[in-house]
Amino acid sequence: MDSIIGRSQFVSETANLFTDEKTANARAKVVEWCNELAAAPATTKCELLVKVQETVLSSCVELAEEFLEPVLSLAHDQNMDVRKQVVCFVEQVCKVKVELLPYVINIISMLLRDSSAQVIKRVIQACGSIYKNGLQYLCSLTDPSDSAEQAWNILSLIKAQILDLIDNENDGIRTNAIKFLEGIIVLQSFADEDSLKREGDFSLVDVPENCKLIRAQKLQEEGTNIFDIMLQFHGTTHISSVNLIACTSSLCTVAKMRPVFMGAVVEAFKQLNANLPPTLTDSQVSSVRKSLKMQLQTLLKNKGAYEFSATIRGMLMDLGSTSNEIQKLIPKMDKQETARRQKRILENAAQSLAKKARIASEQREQETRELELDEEELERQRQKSTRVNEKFLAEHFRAPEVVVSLVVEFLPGLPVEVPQKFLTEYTPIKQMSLQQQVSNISRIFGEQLTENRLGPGAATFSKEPPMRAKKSREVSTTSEAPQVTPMDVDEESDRKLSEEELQRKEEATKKLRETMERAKGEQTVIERMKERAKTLKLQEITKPLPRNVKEKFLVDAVKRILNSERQCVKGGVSSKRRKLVTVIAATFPDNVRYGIMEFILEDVKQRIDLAFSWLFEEYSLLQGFTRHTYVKRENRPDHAYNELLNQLIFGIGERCEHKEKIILLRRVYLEAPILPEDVVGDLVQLSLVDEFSQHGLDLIKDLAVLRPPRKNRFVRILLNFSVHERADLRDRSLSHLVNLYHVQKILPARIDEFALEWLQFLEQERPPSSIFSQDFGRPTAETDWREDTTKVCLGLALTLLPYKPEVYVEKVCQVFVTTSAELKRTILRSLDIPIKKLGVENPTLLQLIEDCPKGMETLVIRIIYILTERVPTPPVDLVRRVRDLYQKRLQDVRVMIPVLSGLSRSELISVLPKLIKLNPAVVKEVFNRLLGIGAEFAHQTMALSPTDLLVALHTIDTNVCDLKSIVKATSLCLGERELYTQEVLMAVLQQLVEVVPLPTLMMRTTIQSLTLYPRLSNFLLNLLQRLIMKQVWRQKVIWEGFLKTVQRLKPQSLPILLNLPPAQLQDALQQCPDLRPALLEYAESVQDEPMNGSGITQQIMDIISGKAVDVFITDESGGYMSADQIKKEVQDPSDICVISTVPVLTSLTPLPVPAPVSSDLNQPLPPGEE
Amino acid sequence: MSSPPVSLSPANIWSQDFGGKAGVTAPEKLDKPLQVVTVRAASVPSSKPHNFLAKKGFNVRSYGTGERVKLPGMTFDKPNVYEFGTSYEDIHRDLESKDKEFYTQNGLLHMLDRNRRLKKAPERFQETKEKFDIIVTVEERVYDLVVLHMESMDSVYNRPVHVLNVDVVDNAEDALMGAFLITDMINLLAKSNDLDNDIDEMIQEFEERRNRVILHSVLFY
Repeated sequence: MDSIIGRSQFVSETANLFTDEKTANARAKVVEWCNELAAAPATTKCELLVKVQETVLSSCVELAEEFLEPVLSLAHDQNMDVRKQVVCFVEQVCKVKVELLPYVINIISMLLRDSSAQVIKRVIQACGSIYKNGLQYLCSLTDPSDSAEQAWNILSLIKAQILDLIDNENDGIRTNAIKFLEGIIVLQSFADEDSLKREGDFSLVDVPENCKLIRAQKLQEEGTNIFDIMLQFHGTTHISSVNLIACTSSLCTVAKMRPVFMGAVVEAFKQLNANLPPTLTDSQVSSVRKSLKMQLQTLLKNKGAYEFSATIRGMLMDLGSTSNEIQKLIPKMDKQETARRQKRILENAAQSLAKKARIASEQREQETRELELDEEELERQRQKSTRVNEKFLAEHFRAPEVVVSLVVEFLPGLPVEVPQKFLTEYTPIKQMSLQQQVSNISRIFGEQLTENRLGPGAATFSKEPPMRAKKSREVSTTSEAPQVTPMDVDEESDRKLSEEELQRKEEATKKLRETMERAKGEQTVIERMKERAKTLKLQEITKPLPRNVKEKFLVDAVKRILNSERQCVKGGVSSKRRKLVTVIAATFPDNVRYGIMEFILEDVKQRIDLAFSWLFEEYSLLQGFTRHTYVKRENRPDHAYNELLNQLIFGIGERCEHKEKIILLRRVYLEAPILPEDVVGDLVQLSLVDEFSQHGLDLIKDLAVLRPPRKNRFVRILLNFSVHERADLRDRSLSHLVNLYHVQKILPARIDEFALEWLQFLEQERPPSSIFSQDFGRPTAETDWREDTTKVCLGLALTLLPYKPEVYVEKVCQVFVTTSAELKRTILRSLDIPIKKLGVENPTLLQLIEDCPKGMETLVIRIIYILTERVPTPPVDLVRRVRDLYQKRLQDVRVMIPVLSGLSRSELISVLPKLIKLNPAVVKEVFNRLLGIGAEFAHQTMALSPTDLLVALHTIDTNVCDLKSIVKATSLCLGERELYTQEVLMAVLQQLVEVVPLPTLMMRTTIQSLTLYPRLSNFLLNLLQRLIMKQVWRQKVIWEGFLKTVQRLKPQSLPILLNLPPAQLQDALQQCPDLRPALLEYAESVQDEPMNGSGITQQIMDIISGKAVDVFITDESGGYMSADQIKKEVQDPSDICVISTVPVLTSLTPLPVPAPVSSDLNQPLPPGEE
Repeated sequence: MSSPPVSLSPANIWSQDFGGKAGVTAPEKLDKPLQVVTVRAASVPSSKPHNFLAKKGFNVRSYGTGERVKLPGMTFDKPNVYEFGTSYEDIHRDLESKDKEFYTQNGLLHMLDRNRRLKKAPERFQETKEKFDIIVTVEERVYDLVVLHMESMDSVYNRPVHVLNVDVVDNAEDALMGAFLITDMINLLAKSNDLDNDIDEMIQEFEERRNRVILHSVLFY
């Protein structure tokens, strides 16, 4: 902006230099417009440009130079229309003020390479007049400046650029280029008398001889060249209709303007008329013929066409003109002129002959010259050919029969005499190995074959001699053969005649070439044109096959490729085949794809690799790693991949036997690059099928591990299965989940969440609807909890409990507290395995046992039970906690049952009364434990032996525990005959008898023992004896029991009776009168015995006989024990004493206890011993 | 884009008969959208396509190519003939004096009335200096005339113009049909960003679709 503002100031300062007010006004306006230009939108820019152009270039040309720069700078504008308007401006500049050419021409050259075809076309159009004006201007310069020369160079360059554009892919650009070339040809040729005159026409005649910059001769050469190019272009077989019409019209214009080209043009038209391009449609043909007809008609009007009128007439007739019409067109000429023209035709004929000769000789000259250049190539070909031949021959000469038959074949052909040539050239073959000879002969023969272009090596020669390709264009445009032959005769003379001209011509050609080279790439354009003219266009000579045929071919071809499986393996190209099939499968239409799919499924096992290859190809396409031209755009981008995968999975499921199916599906799922959702869904469905469920779940688990991005999904599936109605699915998925949770550590948080969620369902009064779903195999909702559903909800949590007890134990407890009794029971029943797994040592459990929150008692007890099951001795820690629990919080003795084996003797004894008060079943179990009965408890080691136990039972204070329970308990013990053997019972009784006071049940047990083991009688006699010493009669129950025992044991027990004090004996006999006769008999027998020194006192006898019924002497002092003895007994620290010191058992009255008997318990005391 | 100077109602199709009558073009400086011209010989109402196209926003001109302006007369074989250059005003007056009721009835007067406000007189194609992108003719003979005329001119601008011929038979129904056809074709061509490059194929496609033969040639201004 500054520059423009600055300019306006400058302008205002210098304005007074101009007297012309109009100019000043115009400048002011233009300045204003230029200022606006910078910021204006594209359309406004164009309008402003038009205004500037009109002012600057129409009314005030003197301002042109001044405002050139702001306008030209717009050549870089982004808007296409603005650029076009700049071109228009430049064009106009060159019209009104061509001196500015050097300043503007660069812009044109630049815009010719514009990105927009529209701009390029506009430039080409403008170039027509720019070139003409520029050429005219430059020719007029007598002393061209450097800038003028530069401008001319650029103009030449532009010319070459446009010549290049005749080959552009844009039809419109080609059309414009043709039109431009037409102008060039007209400009760069000489007008003659028949030329159509136009205003402002310019031809080479107008180029002054002394022009330093431009040589008419050179330009003419160039023009002729370009004309040839146009002819070539016109003759190409695939030319578009528009181009053809434009070209025809241009050629016609050229012919009218420059009749010197008339012949060639008419010839070209003739060619065209005879061979219309095959690519044209019917209506285009009509258009072209119509155009041709019109052009021919105009040509015919031109006098220059006189000598070709016959040809033109023929063509016009062919195109549908009547001869009348034609006649009207032919220009009127008087006889004189007709004659003159006839004469000229003859002259021309002669001249053209000369010209042809000239061309021919020139061509020959060029050929020889070019031959030098191409010798190398020829030589190369020759050598190659020789090598090939040599090799071929050497191979065949190895076989003697070939050589022999060759020699035999040619022997008759040998000349009678040795040719001279042979004699001179032949060198004998001497002293060579066979191998050398063969190679030598091969070489000689090979060379000969090459000379004659025979043998396998002949293929190496290009069809045409190599130098042909390098020949310059002028020569090749006309077909040489017919020209050369007739002229061969007087070639020499012609050469002389034309030598001078030839030289000149050659020089011109050289110069032309220089121009051409300067105009980069033009030569290649010519080459290309030439090639294009020759190229066989497949499209033109073939018709497209009908669609169905094409498709059939396609499918058949693919089938052949598919069926070549074996051959490919044999040939070692199976991987290539696979690649091929893969690409075909991935990119071809559906019918081919389905064919290949079918092929794969026919033998999936063998062809699974192909399937994978294809799958990955689809994946690559989907992801854009691979790109193919064919895009399946009718569906979503992943459609093809998904479809393929689905089909593959479905196909495997359908067609494979079980074992294969498992393996293949596994592969597919594990190896497929991505698994879309529906495929995963398939797998879930498949897992529901019985025979596949195991493998399905295994696979899902593996997928969760091996496909981390989708682990969420797979874990979710497993979770769903873990609460499935079917137990098998549940168990399997639970075990997988544990693996994932614990070993693989995959999404443990997610699994936890799920487990806890389901666990929490149990807190609800009724099962929530969310657990009833098709996904879980229980579609119908239920209103009440069933044990099954409860277990399902518990399942995962309990399975995971051992792995994360701190979370789950707490949660289970929480649920346990809130839930209903029914569910509580289920929970208790389900706890076994997890708690077992968790183990005794687990701190969480121990803590729980220690804390035992309110409402959790049953749970805790259950846990303790589980923990102690089949454990020989519960760990001390546990026992300690249980004991604490029992003592401090929970007064329920049942809690102690599991840890009985861990308790000490005294503890056991202290809890025993409570235990036996429990319900019979529990008591039974307790005794099983205590006694180690049954497999469950067999391995336990108790602090109490069976003996101790029984003794302990007897010593229980009946105030603490009712006698009935104790009786039951002792019965339980005695029921275990295996444990309570004769010996055990003896030990028990032995101990019991020492207890003070005697346990109430002792005699009961004694009697029962006797019932169980009659052989105990001796021992019992002894025992009775001791009881007497303990004054057994003082306890009524025991005394009764004593007597019952005596009764049972009679007659052996009779002597014992005799040991009773008389009062007691009396009492005994009173209570048991049946004893009396036996006792009497016994007493008498004993008295009779002489040896018996003891003697029965009379008092006793009386009692026995019943005589001294009234006399009852209570002889307290007659006892056998003393107070000392009792004391002593009390202080004895033996086990029995301990029992006796148990507080509950402390005797109410200290009774005299006899001294312990140390005799062998097994040995019954001899009767009568005292 | 300037509004088309001639806008004739489709209803008046029979009443707008100018011998080789004609339309209009836009200024050539800014080669904006398509500049289309429809060219008629004589006695066929070519305003129909003109109208259609103008309404679509194309820059349209209509011209005649004949020697005189012909308008339908009282009978088919007796048209009203005027020299080019006769103003609409004069024609209007003339017809009014001949049979005002008849020419009002067939709408011819109405049409002339409108036209005279837009331009002075019917124009002849050969006399116009304007330049177009596309020239549409409705008769092969007219196509020939246009091509011949263009060929006879010196091309100084080297600017290509596509000449297309769509045959329209000279009766009311086909004229309407033809109008649609031409509009359709121009619409199609207007879709192209680079008409010069695409026109060949587009015309082919159009021919196939409409089962018509379109003559097509490229000429230069």
